[in-house]
Amino acid sequence: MTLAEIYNYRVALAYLPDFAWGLWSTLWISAVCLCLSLGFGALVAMGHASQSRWIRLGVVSYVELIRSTPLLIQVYFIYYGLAQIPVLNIPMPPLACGILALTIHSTAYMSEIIRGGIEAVDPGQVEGAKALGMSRRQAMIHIIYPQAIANVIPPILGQGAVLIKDTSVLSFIAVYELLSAGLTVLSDRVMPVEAFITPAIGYLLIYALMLTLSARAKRHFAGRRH
Amino acid sequence: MKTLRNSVFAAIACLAAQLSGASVVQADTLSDIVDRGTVKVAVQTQGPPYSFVDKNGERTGMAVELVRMMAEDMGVTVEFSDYEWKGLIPALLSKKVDFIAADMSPTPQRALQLLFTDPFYESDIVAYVRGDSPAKTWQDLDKDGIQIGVPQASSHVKYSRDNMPKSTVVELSGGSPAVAQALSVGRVDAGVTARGIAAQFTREFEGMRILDGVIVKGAMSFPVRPDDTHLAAWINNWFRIKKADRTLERMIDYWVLTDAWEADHK
Repeated sequence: MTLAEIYNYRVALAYLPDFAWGLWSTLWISAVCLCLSLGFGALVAMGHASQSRWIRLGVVSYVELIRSTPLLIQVYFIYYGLAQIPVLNIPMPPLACGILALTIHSTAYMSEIIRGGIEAVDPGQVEGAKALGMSRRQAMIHIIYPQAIANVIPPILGQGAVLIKDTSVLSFIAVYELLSAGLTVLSDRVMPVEAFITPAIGYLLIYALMLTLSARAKRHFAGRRH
Repeated sequence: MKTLRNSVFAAIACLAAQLSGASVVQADTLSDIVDRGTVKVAVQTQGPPYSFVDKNGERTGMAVELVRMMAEDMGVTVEFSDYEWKGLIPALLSKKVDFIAADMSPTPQRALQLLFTDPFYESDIVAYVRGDSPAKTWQDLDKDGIQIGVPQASSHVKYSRDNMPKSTVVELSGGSPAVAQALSVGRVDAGVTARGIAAQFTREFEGMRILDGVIVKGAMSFPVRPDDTHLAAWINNWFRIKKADRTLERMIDYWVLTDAWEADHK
């Protein structure tokens, strides 16, 4: 039995431009969604600590709604559902719908990570800083946030790895990414092994990279904390 | 060193010969079907007229009923398994099913992996649009900025790209019904599918209409595993006989060319 019988690398290689394009799309879509969801996630985490009950209620409802429903349904809602609501019926190409859906989804998880990171710092430290003559703002900037950032970097990278895999769901609404390249092979050549294993290798490579980064960040910040 | 390397090569060659020799004794799927008294068939329940669940909750459609008639002639029962398009071929190749009864185009590249039966029907592949579209023929869609919805990873992708190169092809998961849905809410400007399926959408969605002209003719056949020549020959023979006695013609009339089936199933 030759390798080509198990995995026909010649066919996979013939589709290399498709896979390369898919890999690139997966990476940049993930990067954009990661940045957006970090920014919005920080805002949502701040909303959680808001004095206003209504803002807190809104933020909690949003996070729970997103965390309790599957990503696929959220993606379908943005692509098919929004277009049926008169005010929100804005013409959007699949890519825009996909980035929007994935950002809304990921923001909920990121906000929880950021909130957890801030809450994990002992609140007594704020009191301590105040006793040393710092204002609350100074205490947050110089004492709380640096520790919170150290806390959240590893889980954020972990969530980033999840985000990268989640981009595959966008292939359902015509966003071209790594899995779409595999589906092209499935359609053209009806070779499921080459169609699904090749993207899986791509995801594995990205995931390994994220894990390495995560471990490195953890060591880096762990060294700095004490 | 050289002798060692040669003997390793010889061992690998022997192993390879044995492995390939083992597959000479082939299992005949058709005999298996008769022995177990059940034919296992993969279908894609994507909507009328080929494969769907009717008002009584019964699985039906042209592909489904063709299989039932075949099973009756084989004297066996049918076990249907429902797959999304992406799952059909893996299900066949991993021997979960004996053959696939879906509207699958037998392209030369696909035929390298699968054994296709003779086509039982050649369908017009057409474009359809919403009522507010200015397009009259499918050629009117070949413009920059026009988004054409097609079922993901289907042969319609190639038909659309080859014939309307200026437009953007949007591949949607969920088959033609998902495309019709996207079209009705305005996410795409047109859809491409077989005439029988498009005709169904013109009845389901108000104002939706089929554009003039045929983009291509799409052949439809049932694939089997590449070594199942007996099963493929049996199905081909069945198609020939049912063409000759006009059963196939009546089925196509009932399911695809007219809405006669609606009285019984809708």
